Amino acid sequence: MDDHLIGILSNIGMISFIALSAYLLLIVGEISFGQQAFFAIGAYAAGIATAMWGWDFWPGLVWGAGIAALAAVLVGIPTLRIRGLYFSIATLAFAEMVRLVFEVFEYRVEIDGEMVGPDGSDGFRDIRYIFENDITAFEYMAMIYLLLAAVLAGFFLLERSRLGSIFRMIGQDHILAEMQGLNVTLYKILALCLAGFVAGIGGALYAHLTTFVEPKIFNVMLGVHSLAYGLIGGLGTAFGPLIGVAIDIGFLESVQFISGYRMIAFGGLVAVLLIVRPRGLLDEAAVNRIRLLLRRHA
Amino acid sequence: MLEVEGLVRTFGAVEAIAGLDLSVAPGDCLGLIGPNGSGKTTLFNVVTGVYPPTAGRIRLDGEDIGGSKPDRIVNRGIARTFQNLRVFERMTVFENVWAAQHRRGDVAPRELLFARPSAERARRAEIDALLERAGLADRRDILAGGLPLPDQRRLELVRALARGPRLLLLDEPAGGMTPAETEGMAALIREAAIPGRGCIVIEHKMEMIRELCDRVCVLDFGRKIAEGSPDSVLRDDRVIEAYIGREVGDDA
Repeated sequence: MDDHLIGILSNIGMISFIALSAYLLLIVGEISFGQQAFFAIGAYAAGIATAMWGWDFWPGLVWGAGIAALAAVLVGIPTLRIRGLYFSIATLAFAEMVRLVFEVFEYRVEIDGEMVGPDGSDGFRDIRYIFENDITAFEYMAMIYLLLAAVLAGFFLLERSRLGSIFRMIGQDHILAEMQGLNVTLYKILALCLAGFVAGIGGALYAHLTTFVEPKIFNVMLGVHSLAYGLIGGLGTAFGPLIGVAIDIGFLESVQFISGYRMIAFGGLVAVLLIVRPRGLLDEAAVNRIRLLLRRHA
Repeated sequence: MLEVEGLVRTFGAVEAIAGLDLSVAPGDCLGLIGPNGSGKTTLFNVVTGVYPPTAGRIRLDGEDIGGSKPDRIVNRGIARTFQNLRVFERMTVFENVWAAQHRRGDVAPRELLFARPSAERARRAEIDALLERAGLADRRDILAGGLPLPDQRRLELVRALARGPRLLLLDEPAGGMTPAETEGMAALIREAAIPGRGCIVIEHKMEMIRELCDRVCVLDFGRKIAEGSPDSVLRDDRVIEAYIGREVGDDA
């Protein structure tokens, strides 16, 4: 496999995590413009753990994702009492706040005669775990996809479970859901926590893939894209957002002669789909049709 | 089982419910009638906690539920349907019913993620039997948003029943139905909904009220203006006046 292809596939896998995190919130009926904040928190926390505290990769990753989930719960408690547009604005404000905090966040220690750690707007360099441990680009890509498979398995378990149906009930009609005995706010905070965890995994993977994070890449465009992936690919199944990522990163960004027009093509695609298929390619109706077909042939 | 005493609910200067007393016992089906805006749906909304009461008491099996959060109240054993039809449109007919069972006594907390196969099979069979009884069996796997209106009403009733409520609040269960469909709905309510639980039915169709209810309560401007058997109530002058107004020159 050539390095270019490995790079593209690694990117697709990594961005899939933040796309899935935005998707989960779309399922419970909330539009978050702030998932990039949890991605960033996961990246910084996991990077600090491996590069500065000498942790192994996996505990570092779980730590990064856990801190992101904790941050999500702390954001959720005050913001999920507000709904709809106000929630969206609150998440956007929170994400910008996180980014600005990382712009001034300095935490440097000396390791082997070199200063390591987040250095404000200069970013956080030398997250060199995968080099120091001789993990090849191919192996790292395999790790990304292993994790993605595990997270996807979790999503499929969720979507077949009562908890998944609870999330969908809340997303479709929260008053009706309340009348079925659901504590809507509690389940929304749970969804936000899970979404934060998933975004945090993506961030931790990102930090170790690029070895270098800087605050400015965690801007609102990352959040808008992660929302758009679900809306393009469809909100009927967790495969939906992955299709969105594959179209954007795998095609628009990676095919040389198109990449210059990426944002134009991407924006156009979103606009067209919002008109013809407002809930994406694999929306609930399409997924139900596929399920019935599979059952008939099973 | 349900006792309402001196209930008041105001919206600004409007008294939607202005001092109401009523009670329902298990096996009872109370008809609730009255002109538009007389406070019938508001009563359902206050009993289920959508709006807290302004004053008065609501007791379910002796426990005061007034002012609790809606999910806590309905989890004590209340289910309702809606006048303006509410189904989970992007879930199948079966899922609509299945999903609503999550807090039933026989669903263990861990079953939110991992179902116990035997218990699950029994519950699914029960849902299928209810859907069959309601004439929805062949629509089981289509998305509920694609159902015609009378089927959505039946689905709402099945969803409410599948939660196993002790008190059932039905808001115009035959609204928008043809006479034949109304008759089918009345039979379904009589056989599947009323036995063993308390029931309040809001309905404008008097033949339905006559068929289902032994007792009728008439509301006007948030007050009870008559209560009794369907026939006696419908002959009551105040009820006729509330519905069709006074005759010109009749200055009684």
